Amino acid sequence: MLTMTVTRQGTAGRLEVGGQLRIDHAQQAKAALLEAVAGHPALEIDLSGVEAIDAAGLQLLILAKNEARTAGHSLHLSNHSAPVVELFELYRLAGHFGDPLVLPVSTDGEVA
Amino acid sequence: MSVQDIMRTFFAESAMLLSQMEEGLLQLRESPDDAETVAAIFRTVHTIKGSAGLFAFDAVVGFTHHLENVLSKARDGGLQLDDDSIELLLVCGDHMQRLLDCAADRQVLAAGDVDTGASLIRQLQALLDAAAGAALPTVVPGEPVDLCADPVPCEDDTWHVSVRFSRDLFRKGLNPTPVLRQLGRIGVITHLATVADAIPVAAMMDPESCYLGFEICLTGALQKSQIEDAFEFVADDCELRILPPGSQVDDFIRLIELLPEDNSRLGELLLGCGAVTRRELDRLLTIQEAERALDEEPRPIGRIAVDQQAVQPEVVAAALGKQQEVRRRQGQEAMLRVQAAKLDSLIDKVGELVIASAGVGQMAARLRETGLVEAVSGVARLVEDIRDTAMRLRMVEIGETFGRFRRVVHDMSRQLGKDIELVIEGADTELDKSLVEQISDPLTHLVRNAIDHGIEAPARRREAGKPARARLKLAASHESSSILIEVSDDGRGLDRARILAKAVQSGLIDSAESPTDEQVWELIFAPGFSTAEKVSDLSGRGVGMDVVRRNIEALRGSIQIDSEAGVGTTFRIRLPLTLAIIDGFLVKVGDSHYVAPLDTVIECVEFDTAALARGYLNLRGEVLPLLPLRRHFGMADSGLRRQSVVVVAAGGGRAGLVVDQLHGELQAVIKPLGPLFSRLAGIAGSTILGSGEVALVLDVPALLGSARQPADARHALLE
Repeated sequence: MLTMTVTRQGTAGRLEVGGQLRIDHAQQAKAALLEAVAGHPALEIDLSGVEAIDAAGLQLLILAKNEARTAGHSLHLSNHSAPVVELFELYRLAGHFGDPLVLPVSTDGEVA
Repeated sequence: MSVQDIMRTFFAESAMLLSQMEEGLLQLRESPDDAETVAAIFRTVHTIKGSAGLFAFDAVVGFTHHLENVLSKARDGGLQLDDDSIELLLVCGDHMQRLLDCAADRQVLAAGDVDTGASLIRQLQALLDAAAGAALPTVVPGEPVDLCADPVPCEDDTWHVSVRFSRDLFRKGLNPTPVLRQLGRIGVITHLATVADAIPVAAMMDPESCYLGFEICLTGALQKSQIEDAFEFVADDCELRILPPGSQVDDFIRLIELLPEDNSRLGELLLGCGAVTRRELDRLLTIQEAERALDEEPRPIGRIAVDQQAVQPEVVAAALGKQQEVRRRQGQEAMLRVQAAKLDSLIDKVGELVIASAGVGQMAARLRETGLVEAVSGVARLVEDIRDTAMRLRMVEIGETFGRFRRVVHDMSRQLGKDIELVIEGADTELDKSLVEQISDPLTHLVRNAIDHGIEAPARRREAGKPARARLKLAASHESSSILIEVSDDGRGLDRARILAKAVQSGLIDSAESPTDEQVWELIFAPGFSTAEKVSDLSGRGVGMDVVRRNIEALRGSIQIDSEAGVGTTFRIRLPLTLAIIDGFLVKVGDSHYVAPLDTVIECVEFDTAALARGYLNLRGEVLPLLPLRRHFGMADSGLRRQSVVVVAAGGGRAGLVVDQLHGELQAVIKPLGPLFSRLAGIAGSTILGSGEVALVLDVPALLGSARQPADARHALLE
């Protein structure tokens, strides 16, 4: 189950991702992400609702970032949920996206 | 490329690296303070160790590790390499070759070699201990050294793991995440970079394909197999490269060059070097990205790094230098490793093309159509160009062969207590690859002879007013259509009186004769001839100068001696440029064509068949044994009234070949005969004539052997 909700505030957009950002919904996620990126010169992707994410989902976020960069759009990830933070840490991708990560208190604070 | 292929390449490369190391060590003996050379030697050893580790040749890795320690110490200036330690390192190089040979043949090392290895390791350790002022006893005396112990303790234990997953990874229900978790369990992931450069533009990107890869620094007391095990489930769906701890920048550069991401990642390189941390690198990447987003020409990351003062400029300069060096080296060595067989087959085809083109030429000439003749001659010219170019492909520089003698000279002069400098000239002279291989043995013999017999002991040299240090020169040059190789020494020269005495004693000449110097020198080529008072350990081991000459003549070459008492001796070897094409002389016997190499043909004469029946010929007063080719090749007598005799000479012998018809000179592309004909006496190969017919190339020295003067011929002539 994957939900993608777009809200628009002027030129800026906000995409709320919820549920399973995984291989099973990869096609759906790709289409929604790209549409949101293309439609908004400034997009924020809210990851707070992501319950599970896998490498395929991660790859799509990278793709979205790539596409935004190509289009000259800005893209920010925000409110990373715990599963997202965990995977980002494992893949050491925080630096790639360059967005602030709010770390769970339990980790030792070293992000990358 | 299969694992077998890669392994073969590894062994070939290792052999090359070992010979480079040997050369380096010998150079070091001349100039012991050459830091560059020490570093180069270290790199060769290190590379072998690294690659051997990839194939899990633990014995090689284990031994090489000790060697590497000593070299690394020497490189850092903590250890001065003197003659004795260089000698030890040379022997270690030999031992590495043995270990590699064993690994190649999948054999167990002989017990004797195991002992040698252990003793060498002890000696290497002793060197290190001595360098450390014996302050740190690193080895407990008497502790057995286990050669096969594989977890080699390293200065640091950071492995570099590089992996690219296959596109189908997700579709097979697999995932890189568990691999990362497993790596995190067996060691500490000190650095990790997720490589997503393979993600294409959105339209081309299949969200169910995997485009990911990792560059990982993994720290821990690990074995390669443990790391590989972490990748066990995805093994078929990834390209995995593992660099063992202590790998050098070079190894990383090689890795980077191997990886698909082409926008060479200086960042990753810096990371791998430990010059910047992951955090710094991320910041740099972000800056570069930001600039790119601003549509500016992105500054190279190295410059950003310096501007941001994240790294010392020297470090970046060094890293950049390394990269450029690699590029340059690759540019210079824009070389291909080609299998000799492929090259041979190309040359074979070109040979056939030459023949075919000659056939077309003949046909065109017969038709007398001007346009056609012109076109054909144009093609023929091109074909000849191609032939020449193809022949040049087989050419290799003789320098490598010469270089091998440094070790021979070094070892022998040590053993004999002589001081000898080896001078090499014309190392870049090119000659046919097969010639290079076959000339090596005769050269070794000449070099050994010169050191053992030609060059005097230092004391004797001083007495004679010569410098104590002797010179042995190996030189190569082109001379018209042949190659001239010279082996010369500044020793005592050949002893005319002793050679003469010996020759008279063994009945080679009459004591009344007084031959010229040249004739005297010729005598040493007689089988079994030796003037050495005692057979030494180093030369005179059954291979005489007669074998040297025979080997050289088998290559259609010649050898000549210049010698002056007290001044020195020079051996001049002349070899043809190539073995594949010869100038030949075409004759016909019955329906068959035969080609005699032109340089063996002296003259042609015609005689009545009756005059030839006796089996020998009186040619201007000289007895010439005859060899009727008809009889030799089992054909019936021709019944011709007059027959031709081709007088041929080789190896100092002469004979007349009786043939039916003479057809004149031609250029023959020699093709080897199949193994079926390998025992056929008197045939060296075959060639194809312009008409498409096959001609057999005569092996003149072998034919001369079978036409050896009949015992009664001399008497018969005297009657």
